[in-house]
Amino acid sequence: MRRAYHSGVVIGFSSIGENEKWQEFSLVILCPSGHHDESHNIRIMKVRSLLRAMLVVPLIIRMMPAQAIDRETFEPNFLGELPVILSASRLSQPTRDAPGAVTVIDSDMIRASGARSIPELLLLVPGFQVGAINGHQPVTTYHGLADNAPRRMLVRVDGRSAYTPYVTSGIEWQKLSVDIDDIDRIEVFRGTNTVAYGSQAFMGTVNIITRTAAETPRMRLRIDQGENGIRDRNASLGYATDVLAIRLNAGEAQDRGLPGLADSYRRQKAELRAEFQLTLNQRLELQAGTIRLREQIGNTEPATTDPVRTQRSTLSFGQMRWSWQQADGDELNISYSHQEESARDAYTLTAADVPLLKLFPPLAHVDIIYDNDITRDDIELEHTVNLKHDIRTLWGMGYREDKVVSPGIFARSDALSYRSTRLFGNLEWRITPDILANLGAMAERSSADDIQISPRVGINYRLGGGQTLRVAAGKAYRNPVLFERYADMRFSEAVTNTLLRHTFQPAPDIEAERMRFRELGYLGEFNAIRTSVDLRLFEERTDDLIQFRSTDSPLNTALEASKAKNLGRATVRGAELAVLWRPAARTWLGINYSRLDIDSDSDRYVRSAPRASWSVLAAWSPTPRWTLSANHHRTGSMSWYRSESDQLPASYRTDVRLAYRFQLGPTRNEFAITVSNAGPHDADYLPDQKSGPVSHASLRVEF
Amino acid sequence: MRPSGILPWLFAIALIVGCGQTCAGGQITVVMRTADDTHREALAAIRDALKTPQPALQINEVDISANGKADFAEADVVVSLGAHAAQVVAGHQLSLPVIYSLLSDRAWHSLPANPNGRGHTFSIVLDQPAARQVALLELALPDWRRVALLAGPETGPTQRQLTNAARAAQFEVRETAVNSEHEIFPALQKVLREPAVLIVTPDARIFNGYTVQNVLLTAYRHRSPVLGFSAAYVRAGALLGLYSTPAQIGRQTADMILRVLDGHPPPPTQAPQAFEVAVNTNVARSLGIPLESAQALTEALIRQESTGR
Repeated sequence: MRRAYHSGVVIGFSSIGENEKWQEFSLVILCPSGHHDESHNIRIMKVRSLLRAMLVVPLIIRMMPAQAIDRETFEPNFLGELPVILSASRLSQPTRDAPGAVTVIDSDMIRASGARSIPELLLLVPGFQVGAINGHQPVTTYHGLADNAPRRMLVRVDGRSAYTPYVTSGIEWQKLSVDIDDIDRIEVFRGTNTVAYGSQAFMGTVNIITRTAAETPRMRLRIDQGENGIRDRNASLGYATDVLAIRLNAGEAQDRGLPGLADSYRRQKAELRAEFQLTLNQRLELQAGTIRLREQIGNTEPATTDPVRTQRSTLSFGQMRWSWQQADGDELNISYSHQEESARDAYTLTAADVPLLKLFPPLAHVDIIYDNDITRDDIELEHTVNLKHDIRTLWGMGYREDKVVSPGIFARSDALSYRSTRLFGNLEWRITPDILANLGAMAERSSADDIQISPRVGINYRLGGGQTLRVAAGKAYRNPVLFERYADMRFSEAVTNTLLRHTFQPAPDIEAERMRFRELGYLGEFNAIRTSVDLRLFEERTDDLIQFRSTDSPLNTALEASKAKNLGRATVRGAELAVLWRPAARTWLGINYSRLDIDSDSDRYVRSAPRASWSVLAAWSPTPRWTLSANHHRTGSMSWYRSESDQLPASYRTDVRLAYRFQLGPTRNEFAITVSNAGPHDADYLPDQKSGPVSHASLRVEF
Repeated sequence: MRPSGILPWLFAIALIVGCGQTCAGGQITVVMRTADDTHREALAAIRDALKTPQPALQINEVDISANGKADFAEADVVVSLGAHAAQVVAGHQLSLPVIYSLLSDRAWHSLPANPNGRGHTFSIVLDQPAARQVALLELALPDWRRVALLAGPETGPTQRQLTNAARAAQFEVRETAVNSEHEIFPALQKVLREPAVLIVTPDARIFNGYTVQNVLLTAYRHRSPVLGFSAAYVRAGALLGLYSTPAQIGRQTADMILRVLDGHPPPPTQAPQAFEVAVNTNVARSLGIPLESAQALTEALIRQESTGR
């Protein structure tokens, strides 16, 4: 029998100690559908707020001074001023100076991977595990310790947090509106980074940095068409003057999901990015985006509590960032973002679905409503100051407020709030030309938790010849998310108002998870032979990990309801090695290896990550027109927090892509064929849920 | 009615005495944008440099808006600062010595020919000599052996000199043609396919305030340092800058004035003699490029030029 663990929210948090039947029931319960009218209204509201945001644009343009460039005479401006383009916030810290291990996936690597979605790219990073609950719900974690709703890792897109652990997983990848072609690079910080970003970055951080609007071609079209109903369309327009640059991107993606599951999806999105050079040293960036999803979930089997249905959800955001470049490379940034998210999934179960209801009067039924509406506001100030030639500091503060309304999940109709205030700083002190110290700390206070402080000390020592040795140590924490603390999911027969099942109960007293870590790193950048070597040895001692345990329901002692508790403890030790030989921008050969040993009294933690994984990454451009690339990954046996029968055997995945670039009139084009998962049918989430080779063709046209 | 007899005589004597004083020291007319700070800086340097050798020399500043030939009638030498002033002065077709200063090589070459001024027109351009740019790259970035150049529709002999100088110094030169601003992005992608030092040339059809963002960001994405031709380029994000300040050009102009007055006319076109190097340490750090200080690089380059290497 094919088990149906593939859908919503609850499953995510079901994790430990529940039986299979319960899982199936709970699954059902969390996801969206129906309510077309309402979701339509929400959509209109989102579009309006996007339009409102765009109305500001002409106003700002009026405020901007035109910069003096004589386009009549084209006289070179030897003595004039220019705006500050590469300001501190646009310059990345070199990996050799970073207080931790950083893997950078650049646009060439992204393109060569043939990936249609961002989570696939994390396979290129040692230490990451990537799976797919279904065709539209990828799960990603760093160093295991995840369930099917991983929430110990942060993803940021241009500085905006994509961590939304209210109802499903911590990172809802499918709700990122960023287009894969607009990504300039992905910087993955391997290891905790709560010092920089707070509680959400407990195990690691994925920073997605998109190209500026000024770097966008005037027009770009992309068409992907392939097996399994793959049908992606994307169009992008760019426009730039000396004081203004705009990028508009819109697209649609769909496929039929994984074989054997009812998980087809359709995603439509639009994103706007505008940059205004207000003065020579002040810049304003506006971003707005909206995404609309229709995702099929549910179990195709009869008499299920998880019927096949369509969830509808939307997410819209607006973000502004003002930056002021001061003398000596100092920079002040203030950013604000607002995000609105909503999902609609409601359906009714009758006696035909739940045999228990036959004991009730006729017309007995259970209304299942997983609707949710979420808003987030986040404001942050960040100041980079070069105190002296050898001391550089970055400090800042921020405030975030999340409001979640979801009566089905929290058993209350009012909004639950999560407020957090943070104050952070990092001092980068070049003690001698060869020794660099990074001293950082974050203090974060949230509405229901005490002040948490996470410090980090790192010393980078240059050995010479492009080699750097790094030691770092520190403490980190993760505040409980709203679901862990307040989930209260009740399922009652509607006519008699009889409580049939209480799957989750609130746990107001749970506390933050904590971690102590230490690491030793080696980075060799051998430019003469175009090779880099990155080795990281680490120990992460986690404590008070939050687990869900079944206990008596406070509403009815005959029932059991899962409750979050600070029970888990695990020590992750291991090594990660990445060697990359890159003789040319589009030609490389790389090997990643990761070894993880998890020591814990809980078998589930021990099995939550593979002991050994490796990847071979290769790309070859024999001529500027052709690129052949292939990635091969081996992930050792692991399980996403489930019982031993759900243990995945070691799995292999191979992706191959062949691309041909050509010019046609004024257009630059690329045609590519990608075969994903070309190898044997391996499973990456449940043992019997295998996805086979899928090939697709893509055509990119740039003008 | 006739004026009283003594007054015309007194007037004539005053005129002779006055002229005698100025004529003995000479008179220089400087045509410039009087409101332009860079022009004022150059003028101040000219005045300062001429104060000691020619204390009696009279220097008159004339704004480009004062469009009368009469302004030059008494002058021994006319100096123009900037491209606009050069055009104004050239338009008068003067027959006296004219020094066009503080302008680009391109602006100098696009001035109308003056049949009256043959042998009397000189210029000090802002474009740095190709050999100096190449020498700076060798000093500052010894590990970088590849340079990238964009050639516009009007790219002239100066850039060819740069290409030749770079090739002569064993640099690999990646150059591509750009016909409009829209072609810059793909052109940069092409020449920076492998990291290279992008040399920003003073071709304003390619490198201007409209394109600077695209140029600097694209080069940075390709991990390629940029050599700019102004201090502003370095502040904007170029790794290196090689340029002359208005004061340096002013001092060179004063030197040229003296030679013209002395009757030892210099060659018609001079490249900047004094110069400065600027570095952007934040960009250097981010690109992981070790660099000497701007001062050390400037001094080393001066030393190299003075020893004739």
